[in-house]
Amino acid sequence: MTMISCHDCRKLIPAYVSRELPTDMRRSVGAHLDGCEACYTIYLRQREITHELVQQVPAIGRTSAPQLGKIWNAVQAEMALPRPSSWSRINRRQSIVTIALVLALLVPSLGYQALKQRSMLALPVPPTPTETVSGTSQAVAMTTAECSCIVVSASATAAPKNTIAAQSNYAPNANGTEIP
Amino acid sequence: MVRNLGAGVVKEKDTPAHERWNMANDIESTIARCLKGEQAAFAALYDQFAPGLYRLCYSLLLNREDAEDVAQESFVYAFKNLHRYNAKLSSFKTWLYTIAICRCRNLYRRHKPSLDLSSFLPAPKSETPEAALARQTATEEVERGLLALNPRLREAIVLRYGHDLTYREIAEVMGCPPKTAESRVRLAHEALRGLIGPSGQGLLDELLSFAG
Repeated sequence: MTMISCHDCRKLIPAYVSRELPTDMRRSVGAHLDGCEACYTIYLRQREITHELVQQVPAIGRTSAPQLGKIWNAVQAEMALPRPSSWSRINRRQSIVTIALVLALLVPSLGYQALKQRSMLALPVPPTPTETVSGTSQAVAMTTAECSCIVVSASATAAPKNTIAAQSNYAPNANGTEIP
Repeated sequence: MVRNLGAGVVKEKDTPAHERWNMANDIESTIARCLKGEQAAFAALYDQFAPGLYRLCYSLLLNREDAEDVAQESFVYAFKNLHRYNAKLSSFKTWLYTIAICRCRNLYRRHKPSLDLSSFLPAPKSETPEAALARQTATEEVERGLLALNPRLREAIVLRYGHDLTYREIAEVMGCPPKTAESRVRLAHEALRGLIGPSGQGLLDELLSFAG
């Protein structure tokens, strides 16, 4: 049997009074109560309150049959009310789904547009086309390098490709001859 | 339709296990009949649970009109959503009590309950005026004590002493772990030690012995 403090004993008194404690704990509380006048006074008070609760709480709100009959009538009346028609429920559900779909389609495209605009603004000025093949490739390399510095998004990295594609007009033709 | 209101309330603690099992089966078959649309089955469910549910609502709200409203709303909700009830997850009683407690919480969030002295049941004719006064004092004392408690502690103590629920069932109804339910009952006891005066049951016993 373990010795318990007054603090622990007082916490266990309600369960002790209601006989909810395991045997060893019950013995510990009992032993403490035997030797502690202050805790014993609390125990007596607790016993009185528990008795009062057991007697009084089930009596609170005990009602009469006519009153329950009145509630039953109200329940029946409310149950008899027509439920919202299945059509209106379906329409409501459909409208919610439609709004969700529109938002799902609209928001990413708007976001994409915004990102595109930002990336377009951030793009470097296309380099002036050079006359030689080596110069062109250098310009392409520069553009890519500059663009890699711009940390935007996939759309931003796609932009240089466009730039490159645009520059491809200035690229040497298949015969390797210079464009005039 | 002739019905026997309030006849079916049985104390769970005093009921043997096999009877409890039979009761649960009865309730399940009644619910199955309700789901088939049998009106008499709804009335049978109401008869069995209405007195307890009304008592629960009244003990928490301490106002007759509010308790009637909440009891009515809870039954309507339960009956309309009976297909959602799962007997494997909880008993019908705790499911119904959970519905009612949510509605009670909404109400006492809006306005603090106050004691409705007009709602005391009239004293039995055989009782002497002294005994009737003492009984009323005792009930009033406990109601005042409950009223002064934090709503969560009040719920715990009402479910424990007013409805004989186990800590596990209290936890189910209150939506908390069983240990929390246990500690709420303990805290309510500690609070009530300072709230309920010795004039309640002690005075009643004394006066009843004097009158006898």
